[in-house]
Amino acid sequence: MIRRRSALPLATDEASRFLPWLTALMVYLAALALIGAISLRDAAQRWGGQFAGTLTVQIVPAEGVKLHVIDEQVKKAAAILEATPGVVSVKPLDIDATAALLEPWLGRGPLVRELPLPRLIDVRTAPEAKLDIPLLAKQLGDVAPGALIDDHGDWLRSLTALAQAIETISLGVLLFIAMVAIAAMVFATRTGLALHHDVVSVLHMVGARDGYIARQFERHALWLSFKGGVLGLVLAGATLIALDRIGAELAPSLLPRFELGWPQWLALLAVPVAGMVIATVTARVTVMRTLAKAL
Amino acid sequence: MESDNQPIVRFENVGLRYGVGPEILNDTSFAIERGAFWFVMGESGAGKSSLLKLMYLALRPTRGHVSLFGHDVATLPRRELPAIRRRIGVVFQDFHLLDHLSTLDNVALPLRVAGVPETQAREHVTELLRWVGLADRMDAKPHTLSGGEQQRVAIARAVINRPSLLIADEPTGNVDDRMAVRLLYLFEELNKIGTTVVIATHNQALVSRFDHPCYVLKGGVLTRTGGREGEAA
Ligand SMILES: Nc1ncnc2c1ncn2[C@@H]1O[C@H](COP(=O)(O)OP(=O)(O)O)[C@@H](O)[C@H]1O
Ligand SMILES: [Mg+2]
Repeated sequence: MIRRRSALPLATDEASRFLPWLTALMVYLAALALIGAISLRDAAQRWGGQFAGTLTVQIVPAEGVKLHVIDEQVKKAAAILEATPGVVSVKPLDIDATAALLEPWLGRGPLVRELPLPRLIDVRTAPEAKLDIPLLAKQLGDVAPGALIDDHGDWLRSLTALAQAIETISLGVLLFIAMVAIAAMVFATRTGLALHHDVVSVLHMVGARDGYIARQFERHALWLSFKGGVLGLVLAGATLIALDRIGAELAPSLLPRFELGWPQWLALLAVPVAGMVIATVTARVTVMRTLAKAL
Repeated sequence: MESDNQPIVRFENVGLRYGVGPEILNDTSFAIERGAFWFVMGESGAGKSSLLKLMYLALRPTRGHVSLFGHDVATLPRRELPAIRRRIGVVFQDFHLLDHLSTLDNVALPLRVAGVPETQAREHVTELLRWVGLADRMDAKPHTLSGGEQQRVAIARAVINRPSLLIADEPTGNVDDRMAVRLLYLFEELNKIGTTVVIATHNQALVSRFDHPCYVLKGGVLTRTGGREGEAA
């Protein structure tokens, strides 16, 4: 610290005691909201990405249709799919592969082959391809009456909607916290100006510009928000590491794992920095505006 | 706009009242020329402090015009006030020292807000404090100083940046006669190098030891009573 005493005795104000705690709490909540949103979007993308660019065609055998007829239908359907622009690969699962999928439930044996199992065709499309699904369904229906196309669209759409809703909520939470932070800072600064009215007026009388007085408040706001920011950062960091541990214990599971990558760490650092910027700028604007009304 | 033959302070038909109270100043007009040395006398409550506040921009007149260095105060934009105030040194009646700052830091304040380099500021301040006999009280806080010592700190702060206009409100009220005379000599020294000085006091004995014009404020009107220079309209 500089040896010289500040021209305004702000350090002993009441606000100097509670503002760091308030800042710490806000930084903590904001960091968790932001990192939660980033992680969720990340997870939704990774999860959804596994299904994007894939189609599954099911051919459901009608009552009493012979096996070789179905084989024939699958072959024809595969040929149509292969001829469709944008399709990268077509992989019909033969009866053995289908049976293998069901083995854990139905066991190994000839019985499985007698069942009217739906036959699956795994289709991969180019990422930018836009297939005309209704047209394709019609074409497939002509050669295989029981054909169904599943492009995972409904499922992906609800996943995206969920991710977006959570993102919007997080953004709202962040905005709300920022507004509370600004309000708290405006209040503390105005209180400080009123409390030190005499000192401020002496400073004016000896020729201080409003900017000089504002700078005292800015420095003080920076210092308080730095203290609070560091505390909030440490708490949020500890919480994240704990969550990461818990996530590791749960894996492997169906749900995508909560992962701590560089975007999360970056967000963790960005929140207290944003807090310091908000505090400093708010203090300055408040002082300049309030003093503009003075003589 | 500003020129050497402009009066440093000019009041034109200035009226002043606080709220709905009585008129403290009643159509007062006068000009203080560059290099003048004025005493302003008057009973307690006559309005001396109010008159000086108008001169150092702590107050605006209710009516009329106050000009400083040739600028009409009413039309000065706010951002130009600091530059004007830096040319004015003020010894406030109740000192207005900053309690949390040492003697040295209090006196250095006008230099610091003007951005004078720290080493230079210290040098000036130390020298001046030695002159007013406070060399051994440099690190003391105002509340540990006697009334007379506080007054000298206030005076040192007012003169530290060699103001063009020095305004002192009862600057010798708390010091003994010897120190009062000594402080007035300091003001005279500054006056000799071109500083315009205005001192409000009710110490008639002190005023009569100096050969400067004396004005009396009574009933909201300023009238000249003694000395040789200056002219009240
Ligand atoms: N801020 C103020 N508000 C209302 N009345 C004031 C204020 N300052 C001074 N007065 C009144 O104005 C009159 C002149 O006061 P002042 O200028 O301090 O006189 P002096 O310095 O000659 O003693 C007094 O009656 C005082 O009560
Ligand atoms: Mg007075």
